[in-house]
Amino acid sequence: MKISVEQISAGYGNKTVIHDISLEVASGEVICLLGANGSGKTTLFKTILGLIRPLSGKVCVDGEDISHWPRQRLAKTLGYVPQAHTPPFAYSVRDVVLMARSVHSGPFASPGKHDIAIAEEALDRLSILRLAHQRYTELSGGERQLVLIARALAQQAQILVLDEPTSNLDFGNQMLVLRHVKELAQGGLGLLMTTHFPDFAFLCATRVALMKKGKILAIDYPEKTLTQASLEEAYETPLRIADAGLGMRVVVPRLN
Amino acid sequence: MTTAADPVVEDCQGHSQDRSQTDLAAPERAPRTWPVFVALWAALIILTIFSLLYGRYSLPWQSWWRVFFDQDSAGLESIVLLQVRLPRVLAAILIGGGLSVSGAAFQGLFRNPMASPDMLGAYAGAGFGASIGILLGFGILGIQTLGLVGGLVALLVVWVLGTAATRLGGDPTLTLILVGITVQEAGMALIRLTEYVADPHGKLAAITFWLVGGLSAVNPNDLKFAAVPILLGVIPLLLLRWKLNVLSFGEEEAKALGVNPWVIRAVIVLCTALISAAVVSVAGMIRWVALVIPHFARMVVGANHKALLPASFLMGSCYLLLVDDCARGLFALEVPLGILTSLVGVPFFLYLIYRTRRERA
Repeated sequence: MKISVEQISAGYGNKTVIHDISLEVASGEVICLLGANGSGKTTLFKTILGLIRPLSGKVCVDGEDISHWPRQRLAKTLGYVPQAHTPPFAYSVRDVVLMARSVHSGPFASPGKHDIAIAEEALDRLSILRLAHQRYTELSGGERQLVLIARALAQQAQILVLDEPTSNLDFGNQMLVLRHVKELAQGGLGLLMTTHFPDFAFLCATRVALMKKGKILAIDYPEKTLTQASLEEAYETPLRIADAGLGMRVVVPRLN
Repeated sequence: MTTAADPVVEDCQGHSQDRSQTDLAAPERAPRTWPVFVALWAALIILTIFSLLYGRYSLPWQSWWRVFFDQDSAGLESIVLLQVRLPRVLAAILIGGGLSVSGAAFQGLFRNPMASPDMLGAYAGAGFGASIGILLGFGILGIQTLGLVGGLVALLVVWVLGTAATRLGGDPTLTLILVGITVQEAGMALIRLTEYVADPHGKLAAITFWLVGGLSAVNPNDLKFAAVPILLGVIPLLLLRWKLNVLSFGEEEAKALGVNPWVIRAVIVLCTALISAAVVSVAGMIRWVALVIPHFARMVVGANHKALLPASFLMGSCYLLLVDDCARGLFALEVPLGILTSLVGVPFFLYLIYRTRRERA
């Protein structure tokens, strides 16, 4: 399955935030979206998810324009993983994951045994089945992020859109999430994620899109997109790209 | 849990250990809610029987036998039971349950445990409608109809103004609440106006008596009038209760999970307003039930609206039966139910505030 963004421009009211963006996410890929605050990453996400209408251009799934798809059909294809949040009510972890099953049921239905099995399978895939009956609000940030990824898996969407899944997490949990992101892509899902750390793109992305002021500066595999010149342009800060051995690259920022 | 200060190596090891353990260990079972429901049904049945037998005109349980199987010898007993106590008890069950379900649904929809359905203007609108009916000297059915219509008109005003404001941007649910509170205040001012112009020796007392809230005047016709809109409101809420879970995660997540928030929000707001308006039309402004009971239900069965809504109904029914028994029996003179629910509800709510603060600390 392939989702393609074709020459999208979008924004709020009269203000155009992103201009003429094109990119593709196919099954098995991890596309990292990098860019400074306000570069239009969130707007691009909202447009892809159908939360705001594009001013021009279109989003296609396997060549079919999705602008007229009903919400439920869209949600069967595209899963959204928001940043780990705290809802006002203390749902159990399994209930949070089960909410994804409303994608596959009628308006008055509530989840049955089959749905519970799928939810528990999704939790197990992320190795957090032991949390199933804990309260979601009492988990750590990293665990909550994994629960939200599990929810998208239970939704059985083919392409996942992850909004800064590593923000607000400690170092160990960031790596835990990245490890799962990579595993899910190897398992056949397509993933599109934003991050503030170029190093994370080196670690898990098959391709990277670098955004600035609503436009894509470069999009290609990480070593080609993320150069000293392109990153300095995108973030407007001096840096170096170093070789950390074993073929790993890291970005080293400089303060002067 | 682990914090950023932990040594990185330990952190990673900790997680990988967790994983190897969980792959083998079976998850513990989900907490069961059915014992709670058995207990709530039992409490409701016991309270119902008690409330039917209890009262100023004391009736032994044999009276019921006579009323159903030996009507000739029943006489006054039959009137007391069928015309006075039975409608009153059924009204308490329907009103307490209906208000509590609407409160639970409303708090879920607005993602705020402090929200209450009377915030959307239906209470004030219904109160104003009923006051106008009394002022114009309408019969009881006219007053009740005007109350119901007034509540729904107030909601319509809130909805139209609210959606118009939402088009300009911002969070739709918050906008709706803000507009609702404004319309609510306008309605209260209009009620004050009807009281001000009413004849102080006749109609003013009638308006005050109506608005203060109570079940003492409920007869079989009132019960029929209220039961239809309350059930029309409660049933869709119960049917949609799983979607309410999804909606309580907010607008954008609900959409991403395939739920159309506008449709569900409209249905829920309409149902809660229908319940509120029907309650005010037959029993006046009974407050605090919709706000407080869902909190207690949440403590017992958890946040999942699938169990929360039915539990709220049962607890609300029990609560109002109990408070109405107190209203009837505490003092020589009957205390208006609307005053008692507020007097009981306020300390409950303060307790909740202290409790949640302590949990967070």
